Amino acid sequence: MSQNTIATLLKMPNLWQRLKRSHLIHSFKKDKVAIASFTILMLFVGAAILAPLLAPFDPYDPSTIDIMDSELPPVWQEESEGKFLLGTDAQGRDLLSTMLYGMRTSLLIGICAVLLQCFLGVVVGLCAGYFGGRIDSFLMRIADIQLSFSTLMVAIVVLAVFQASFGAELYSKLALIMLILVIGIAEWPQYARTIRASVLAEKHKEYVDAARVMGFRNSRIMLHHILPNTLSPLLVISTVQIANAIISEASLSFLGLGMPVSQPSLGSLIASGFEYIFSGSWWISAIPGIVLVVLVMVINLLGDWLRDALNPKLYKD
Amino acid sequence: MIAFLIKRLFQAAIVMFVISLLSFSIQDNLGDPLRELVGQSVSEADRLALREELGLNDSFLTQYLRFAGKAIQGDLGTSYFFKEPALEVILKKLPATLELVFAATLLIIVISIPVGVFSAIKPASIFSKAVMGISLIGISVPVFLTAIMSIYIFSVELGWLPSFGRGVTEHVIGSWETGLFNLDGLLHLLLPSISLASIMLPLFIRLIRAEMMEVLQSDYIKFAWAKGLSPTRIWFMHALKNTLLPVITVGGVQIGTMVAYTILTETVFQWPGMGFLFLEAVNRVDTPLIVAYLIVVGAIFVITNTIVDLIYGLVNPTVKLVGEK
Repeated sequence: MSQNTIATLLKMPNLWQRLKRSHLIHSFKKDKVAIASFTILMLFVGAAILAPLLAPFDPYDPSTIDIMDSELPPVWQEESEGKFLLGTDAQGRDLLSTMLYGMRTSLLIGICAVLLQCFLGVVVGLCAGYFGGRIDSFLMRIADIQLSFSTLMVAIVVLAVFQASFGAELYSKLALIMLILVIGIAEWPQYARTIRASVLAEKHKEYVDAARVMGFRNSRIMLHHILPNTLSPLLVISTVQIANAIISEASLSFLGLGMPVSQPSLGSLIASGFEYIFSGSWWISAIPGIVLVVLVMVINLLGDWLRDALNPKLYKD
Repeated sequence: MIAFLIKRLFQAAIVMFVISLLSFSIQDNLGDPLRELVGQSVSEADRLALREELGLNDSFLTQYLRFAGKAIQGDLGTSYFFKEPALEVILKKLPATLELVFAATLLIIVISIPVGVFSAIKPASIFSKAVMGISLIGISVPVFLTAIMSIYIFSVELGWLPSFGRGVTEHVIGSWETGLFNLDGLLHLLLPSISLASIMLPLFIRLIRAEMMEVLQSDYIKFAWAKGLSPTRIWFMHALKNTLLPVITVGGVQIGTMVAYTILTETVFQWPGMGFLFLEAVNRVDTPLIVAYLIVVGAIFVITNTIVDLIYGLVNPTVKLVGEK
């Protein structure tokens, strides 16, 4: 095993060279939209990771928050005080800092939830596709039924029931984990179906037969031989799924079933600003809203590009 | 066809059974019905006696069977807050939600078919490119954000449209009150239905466009051109017909999704429908109402899915109705 790892490490520079010359990078360099979306996404991710360093204030520290500063508009408005670049929210928190931290939460939930979906979906999809027969029809029937219920509906109901039984106090502490679990579990059929379809296409190819003739165990054939060949559809749906997970998280938080106001994600920040829209404080909702839309849009654009790049047979739309 | 129908109905029954089981276990674990009934003042011994009398000490199975028996007769318990049968409370709110979904569906059909068809026929035109660009933005905007921003622009800033509620409603039949037949009600319906439609529109426009483009490449369309049929006839009689098949399938699934999105739209616009009621019930831990909502929405999902499957079988003669073996 350790020899294997060393061998892989030695091959790494080679791999990098291969990647640099690959079709994927080539098409990336040609596509201006993809480059722009990738840059914006990296800026967002970077800002989210470095939020504690970049943010001018700490929104989680109540001692720095002054209620007298609440609902101050951004600097380009007339009544602004200039201390807060994008204004403040209803509790007097600096909107820019709160948003940086909020983006962190949103991205964290989105990515973790998709990792969970991916894990569950890959396990189920591989088993269903590889073993076929009864197992396949049973697992896919469950997937069909779960897909026939909207995932958002399932998430709302599950979270609502948990909130009602835990009480709001305890729930707000568990919200992060609950959101990841619920969004993660609700969407696994998407992955399972995609993987199953690819496994069915790969299963009868010669290299799988060869591996079977050589007497490899089923688990080895599934994980080492078939799985690597299903990676491109996996990558494509992962981008879309991350975008969807971020939107789902925002929607759930908006309904008050997600992140608490003390640790807002982008969705709960938009929700907290909604009440103040009628008094003209549009920025509390609008600015995090724009950030959310841009974030989701660049991920979607990258997904579109990836789909076209990895599947040249597909017509462009 | 009949075998398929029976199979689908059987599956629907199983799904409803699972939903009722889940709902019941929620009811079993959420809150204490005794406390809702008698409050704090009753002695411990009386409580135990009452527990026995109400059958709360029976096994899970006995309790479930009792629940299911009542549920089949339409008795889902009494709402703690409204002090009325939970099912009645839900059904009273159902028309408001259905009107919202109906208006949004109408908007989607009226807009997405012509726009989708046009952008498939003339993919290079500026209009088509603009549609594709806007639809990409549309996919990325969450429905509640569309709703909030439309309130800000049209209600707060411009003051053209009302921002919440259903406005004046008229009595139709039974508990059905509608806002569809007067101007005030329609004005109130406008923003919520546009918001709700906005989440599905991009999806349908893209779907119709992609399917239509594929159909236009096929041989029978080329043959129709060669026969010299008029373009309108080819586009709308020959091509559109086959485009609509996948649209029906996706549409059926999306109706269920729309019910989920009504929760968001109704919350923003304080639309007095089922979704708004459900969130209120959650905040009040009104268990019978939560359970009733789950069962009603579960039934809506199961019914729409079954109907869509049946329609699909009728419209598409190549679908194998009995199993895929």
